[in-house]
Amino acid sequence: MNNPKKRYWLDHRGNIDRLVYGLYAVCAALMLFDFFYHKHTYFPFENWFGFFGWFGFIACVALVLLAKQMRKIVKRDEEYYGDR
Amino acid sequence: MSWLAEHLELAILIPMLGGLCILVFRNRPKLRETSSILAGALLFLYVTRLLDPDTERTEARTLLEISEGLSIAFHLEPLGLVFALLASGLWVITTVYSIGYLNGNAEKNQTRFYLYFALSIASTMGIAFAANLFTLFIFYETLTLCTYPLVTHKQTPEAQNGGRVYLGVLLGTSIMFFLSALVITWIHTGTLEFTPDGILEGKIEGITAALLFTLFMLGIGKAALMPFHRWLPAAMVAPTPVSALLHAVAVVKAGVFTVLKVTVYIFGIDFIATQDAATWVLWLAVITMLTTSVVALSKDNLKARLAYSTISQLAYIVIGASLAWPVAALGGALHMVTHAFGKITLFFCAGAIYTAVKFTRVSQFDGLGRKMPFTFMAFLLAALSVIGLPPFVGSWSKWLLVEGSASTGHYFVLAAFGLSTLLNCAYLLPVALRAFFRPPGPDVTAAGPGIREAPLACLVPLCATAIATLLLFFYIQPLYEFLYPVFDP
Amino acid sequence: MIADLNPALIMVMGPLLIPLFKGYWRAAYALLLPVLSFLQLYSLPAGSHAELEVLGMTLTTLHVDRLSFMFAVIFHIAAFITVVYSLHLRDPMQQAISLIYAGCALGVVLAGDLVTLFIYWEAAAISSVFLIWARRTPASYRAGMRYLIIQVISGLMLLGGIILHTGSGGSIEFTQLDLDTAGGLLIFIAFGIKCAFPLLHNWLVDAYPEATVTGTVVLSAFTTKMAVYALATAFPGTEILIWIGLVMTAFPIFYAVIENDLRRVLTYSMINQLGFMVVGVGIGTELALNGAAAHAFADILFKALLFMSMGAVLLRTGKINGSDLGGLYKSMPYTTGFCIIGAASISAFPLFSAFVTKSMIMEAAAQEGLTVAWLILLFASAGVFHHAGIKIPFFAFFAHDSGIRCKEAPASMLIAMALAASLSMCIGIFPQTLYTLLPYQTGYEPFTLTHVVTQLQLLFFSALAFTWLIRRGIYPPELHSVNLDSDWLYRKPGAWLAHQALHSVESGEKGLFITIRKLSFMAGARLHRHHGPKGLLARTWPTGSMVLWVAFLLGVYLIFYYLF
Repeated sequence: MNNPKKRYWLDHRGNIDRLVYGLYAVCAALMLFDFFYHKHTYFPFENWFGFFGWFGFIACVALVLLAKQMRKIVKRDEEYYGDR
Repeated sequence: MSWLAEHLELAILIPMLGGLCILVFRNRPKLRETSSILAGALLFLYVTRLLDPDTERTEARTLLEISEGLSIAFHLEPLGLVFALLASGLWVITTVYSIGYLNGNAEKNQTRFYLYFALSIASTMGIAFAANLFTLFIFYETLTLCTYPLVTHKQTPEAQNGGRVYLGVLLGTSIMFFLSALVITWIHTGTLEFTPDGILEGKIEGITAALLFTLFMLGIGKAALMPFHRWLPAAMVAPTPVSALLHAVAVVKAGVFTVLKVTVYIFGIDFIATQDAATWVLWLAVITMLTTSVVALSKDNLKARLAYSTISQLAYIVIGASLAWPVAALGGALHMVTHAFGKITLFFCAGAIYTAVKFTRVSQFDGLGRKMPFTFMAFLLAALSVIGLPPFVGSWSKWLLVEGSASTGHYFVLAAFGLSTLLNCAYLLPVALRAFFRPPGPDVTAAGPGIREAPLACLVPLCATAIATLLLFFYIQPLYEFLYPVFDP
Repeated sequence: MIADLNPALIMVMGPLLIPLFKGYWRAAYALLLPVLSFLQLYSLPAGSHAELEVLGMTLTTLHVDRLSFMFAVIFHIAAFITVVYSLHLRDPMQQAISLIYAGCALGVVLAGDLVTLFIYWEAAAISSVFLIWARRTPASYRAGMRYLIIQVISGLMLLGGIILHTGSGGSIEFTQLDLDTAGGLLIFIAFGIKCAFPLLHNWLVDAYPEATVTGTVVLSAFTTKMAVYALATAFPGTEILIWIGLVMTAFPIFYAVIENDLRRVLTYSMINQLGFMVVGVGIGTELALNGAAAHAFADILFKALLFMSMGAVLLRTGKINGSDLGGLYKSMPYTTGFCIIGAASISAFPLFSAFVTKSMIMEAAAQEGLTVAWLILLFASAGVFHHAGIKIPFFAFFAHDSGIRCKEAPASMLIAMALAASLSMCIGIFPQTLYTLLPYQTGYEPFTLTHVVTQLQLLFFSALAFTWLIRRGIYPPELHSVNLDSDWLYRKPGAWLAHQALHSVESGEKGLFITIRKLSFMAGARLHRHHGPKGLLARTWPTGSMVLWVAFLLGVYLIFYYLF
């Protein structure tokens, strides 16, 4: 078994920040890449700048915010059905 | 061979002689049980010898002529032969089981038990080979009377109460309705002979035919149509081997067998269809099927639950007959066989559980499965067959019944079959599943680690019939082909 | 190998002997069965085999074409992997049932006619439920019961549909069916239940997470995928399937975000992935059908991989709720790695399997000019990454450290995960190996610059959204809770109604009996006046002896008749 006291790389707050900044950098690079190649597309809106990027971002934020609201309606106590 | 087929009364004599031996050896249990088994084996051997693909039906052979068109006569035809095979074959198995059960429970009056058992089988054989309705009626009544002492075997007030309902309903309906229907038929046609395509064509029609058919179906109380179904749960006071063979196979199947005989050989399927004679009965059977399934769901006592389940399954066969469509009636006839194997297993299991731990209620079974794996495994297989799920034999007969209801455009019957199947699942499966997958309940814990399977004489028969429900799934075709000519001449 | 032998029979019958073996022999035998079955499948020429005459119908119990062959191949792979995964078990019942169930699913995809299809369909339902019950908890017992009832309903609908279909002159052959007939519609719904169509999906979400550790893995592979196969065979190009599929891709991801039980999250994710396949079947072009089949193939692997990693977590920690887990990468590094590969595969990262399969469906939708459908699929693709790709590994293995320190998963489990992971990556890196198995040759090329870049943009910005939401504290916390789904309908009001109906029918039946008895007593009382105090029915024993005499006389008569 492992030693519970052992500190891992991810246990350092700074390392997590580094990861997050890395992610920002990759995202920015991907967005800018749109300038450098020709997209083969089916729909006109696909050619909007960074369409897939901001679509993904907005989709996920909307998904989470909506799901959060959904909890108000569908969330029940764990014992609700009484068989746990 | 042909000599055997000409002397069908042998089928009645063999169990009666067996009964005689049982009486003679009443103080020698070993010999008494041996003679019971031997009689069963002999009878089964005899009936199998009658199997001959060439002879579809033999001429009626009269033993006693009472008056013109009224006689005691026997004949051989596929439906009766299948019924006889079924009853005699399962008698052998049940006898083995009975030995384990009666000794395991130290039952008293075993001689009387074996004797009346043999007599009941003799009556059943009489029903199976009856060449006319009169003969059938006589043996139908003897069967009621011969099983009565078995129902009241324990001689407790409870048993006598049950016996009173049993006798009251069965005798009452048969005398009030069956006999009247029989007399009406005789007056109109002058014969009671079982004839392909029926005897009523051109004699009666329209509403009269419908009334007569209804009278017959209500009169055949052994088929347990509502409201005359309560005799069957009442009969559950009997020792379990009785419930297993007689009230899951011989007696109730005698009822639906009579239903099929009357449908096919007295009315004729085409005649019922053209006169629209069976609609009321169809509705009644559908209501019976659904109601009793629901009631079964509410019964905690296993045998009561199985009794109601039987009633609902009998209604399947009555539906098969009253859809007035060859495929459906054939489905009914097959269901008679497939249900017999399933239900006798279920009763065997109920008896085995009782013998081993004296439990009668489903709610006591929690966690019992690990102590009695064979019994509950057999129960599970048989339950799946009775529900009609593949790969178990019950699914084929259900298939034909459903096909029949769709072909005749009775979509509500189709839906009712579906609903009934779900109800079957709901009341049959939990019995075995609680035993396997729930933690041990207070009763099982209290019974301690000493719980063991029932004696081998109980266990082997129930495993055999359970495996049969699986194997017959793959060998249904010969039976189908054998019965096919009855419904499609 | 052996002519006319259905490989499914090897997998259905073979496991019955598993309990007879012990230890390594049992493992070897269980592993041998899918191999043998596969060899038999491989040796079968395409076309129909093993015809059988039953109840006036001619059954084609074995039919091999390109689509069924492909599903049969992946079912064998899945069966093999799940056997490996379950090797640590000391429960022969579960091992046997897993294989039997896999065999039944195999029988479904190899069925050449509707009756055979029905038989295996039901058998799969019955065998699979034991994987739920095998967990032996009260919750799994009830969930299994609900699961079975719904599976049986699907079977009944199939039965009714087949009978109506053949009754109206349809052939018994399992081929394209007409949705406009009553029979076709019933069959469609029967498939739809197993395929977890919206509102018919609750059984999956309800029951799968209640199964055993290995049970959920096995269940995830077969039932729903055989339904996809059935839909692709019977209803390709049915437009309504596009819309059904779209709903399936979209609605479960909302539930997945707020669900706490990580295996339940994965079941929602299953419905989402099935939605893609259903859309593919609905579009019905060669590319779309290829996409559906290929995605089913890939999904079996990565979904099994994800369930396996969650199973390992459950086995080692006894917990599966996101709120109770976290930081497990420290204790289970290999499992973490495999889980991430599974997550990357389901999210369709380039070089992972879904990238080369799901894109065929998207491409087909675009080719057909289905703008709305395409946008919804794109939304769902982002959502997949969000709830399955990130949420599962994040809450189980990272997030805040729950303090749980446990052993790494057993070796057998790790090997099974490694198998599934390497296959998922193989498909992702060498898609042509999978494409040769597909029913049609379309010359589809997944690795275009546009596809790679746009997919990476979509995924990384989804990750960005997740990171942002978490760091801002907007992300909904994992909570111990139950989320109402359509199963509420029958678990609350439905159950109440059923209870009422049951009660009234029961008392009605009792009342009927009492009335009749009263009536007959009244009639009996009249007779009583004429026949004195000791009526026939009141006497019990004398009746018995009377019977004996009657029977005796009858017997004597027969004997005399016989002798003279």
